[in-house]
Amino acid sequence: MRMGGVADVPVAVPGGHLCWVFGDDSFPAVAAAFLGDGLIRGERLLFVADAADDVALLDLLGDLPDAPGLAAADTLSVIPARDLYVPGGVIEPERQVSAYAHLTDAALAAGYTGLRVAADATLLVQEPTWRADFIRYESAIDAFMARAPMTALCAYDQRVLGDAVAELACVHPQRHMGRATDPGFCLYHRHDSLRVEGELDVAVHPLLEPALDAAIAVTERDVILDLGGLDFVDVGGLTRIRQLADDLREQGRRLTIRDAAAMLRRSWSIIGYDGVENVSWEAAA
Amino acid sequence: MTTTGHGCTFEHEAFFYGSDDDYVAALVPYLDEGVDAGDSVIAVVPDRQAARLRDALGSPSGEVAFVDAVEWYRHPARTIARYDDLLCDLGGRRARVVGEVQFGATAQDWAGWTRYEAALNRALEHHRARVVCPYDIRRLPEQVVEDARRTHPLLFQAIDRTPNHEYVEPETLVADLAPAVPLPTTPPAVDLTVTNDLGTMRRAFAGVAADARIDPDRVAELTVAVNEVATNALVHGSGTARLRAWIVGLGEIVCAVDDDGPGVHDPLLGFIPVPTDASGGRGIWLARQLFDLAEMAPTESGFRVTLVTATA
Repeated sequence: MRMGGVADVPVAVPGGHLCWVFGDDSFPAVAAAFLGDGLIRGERLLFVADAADDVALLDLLGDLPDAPGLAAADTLSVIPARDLYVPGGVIEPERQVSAYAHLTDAALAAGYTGLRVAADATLLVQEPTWRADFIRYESAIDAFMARAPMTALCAYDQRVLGDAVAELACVHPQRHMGRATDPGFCLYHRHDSLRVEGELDVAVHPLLEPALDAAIAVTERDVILDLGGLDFVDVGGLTRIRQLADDLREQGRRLTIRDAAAMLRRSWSIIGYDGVENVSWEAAA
Repeated sequence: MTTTGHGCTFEHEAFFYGSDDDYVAALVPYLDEGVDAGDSVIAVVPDRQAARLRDALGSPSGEVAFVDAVEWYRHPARTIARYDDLLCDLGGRRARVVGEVQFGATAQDWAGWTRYEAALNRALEHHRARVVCPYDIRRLPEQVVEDARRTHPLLFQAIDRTPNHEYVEPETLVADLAPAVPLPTTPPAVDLTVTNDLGTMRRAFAGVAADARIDPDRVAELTVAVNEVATNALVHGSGTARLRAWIVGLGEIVCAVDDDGPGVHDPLLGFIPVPTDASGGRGIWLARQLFDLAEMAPTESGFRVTLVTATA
């Protein structure tokens, strides 16, 4: 079962999806540690960062023992960020996910246990409009990792992005915020549900809407929203969940709210949302 | 009939009676007529009055639903919510109600229920319902009877209704009815000013409430309400909210949330159910449902919401 939360070290179990916010030159060492962990697990490795070419990228991975040898054996690939995604170009979540699905299949076919990616995507999210597209991509790849043996660390440079890193961090199950402001919640995929953990109040309403929109765009099926890890939600948070239900209803879809706290259910009722007809409630799975 | 409507809007009528015979003679035909018309007929009256009405009704037993008024009229804001739920559940079927408000013992109780009577004119105005409120002029305080003349647009008489010329629009009346809630003079158990970190405020408040041995489910309710009021303070003030909370004796918790904004000028805010598709306004509604009292008033430097509830 995937679990959300705050991470102190760049380690993730297979299927993990870790947002790593940095504010100094530590990213290459963090990526080397993350990829080294995958090596022990028998995974094929991919390193993506903003560098001119493969040689420069391999140089950055000095902390990964014998990076050139791993590259020669096809265990490690390196790709300059600007070659993988076009900065400012339209991110097509389905196409990107399908590319990673192919890489994951290829890794399994070559005898690896899965695919592990460490990527610095700062370059691709500098503009607010790029970021909106990229949040949809992050949520889509998260849904893929919830069911496939792919593991990723997505790094973002706070020096470039400022507090906007929170917009990206909240769509990862795990996050390391460095010196950036913690979003206080996360929204990520499990095999059959969307899971929300943390606290939803007025400070995070602006983050919640794009995160929810991105998450429901991943499939066309009914949605299960698992609130078992939600410690607090205010009326504004409930109203955004209500809006989510309205959006789904327009698409002919249902929303099942799973494992909601008794207080949440009571607030929902008091503020008059019981009449939202495509919403149903269920206990913990 | 001499009245305004055709039974498709909300009609709120005061019925002043001076004897039990008058009570029965007027209300039995009113109830029977509703049953004949196919309305949903509900009598929210004290048990002793229910017995009198039951004996005299011509309608088959069970056609009039009786609800115990003592149980129904405990908390003005919750009673409004229950009426709204009840009428919503009828799905458009017309309702005919007798609602005998239980005014309580203190002047503060009376003001609270008079404010309820005024607010009802707005809170239920979209429903197809006729509500007759009997006032026993032998037993009720003079002030309560006098106020009822200002909170009901119509006067109910034995077979007729007349417009009430003494009726006052609820927005005007209610402004004068808000009780002043003095803050305790002792040091508060929490005194915290926040700019964006409501989580810290929630934890401080919940900690104090838990220390006062308030039931955990109740702590969760009160915390949600305090958070909504503080959210309004942050959003509508200049961006800071100050929370103070007192545990008074063993039985009461008092909270004051202050901001430096202009505040709200709608004295009915939080008494009127918010339409499903409206974008906001649910926070104060929720606070009024979860606390016994939620009062708003300007201060020298801004605006204050005071929340009071029994903790037992």
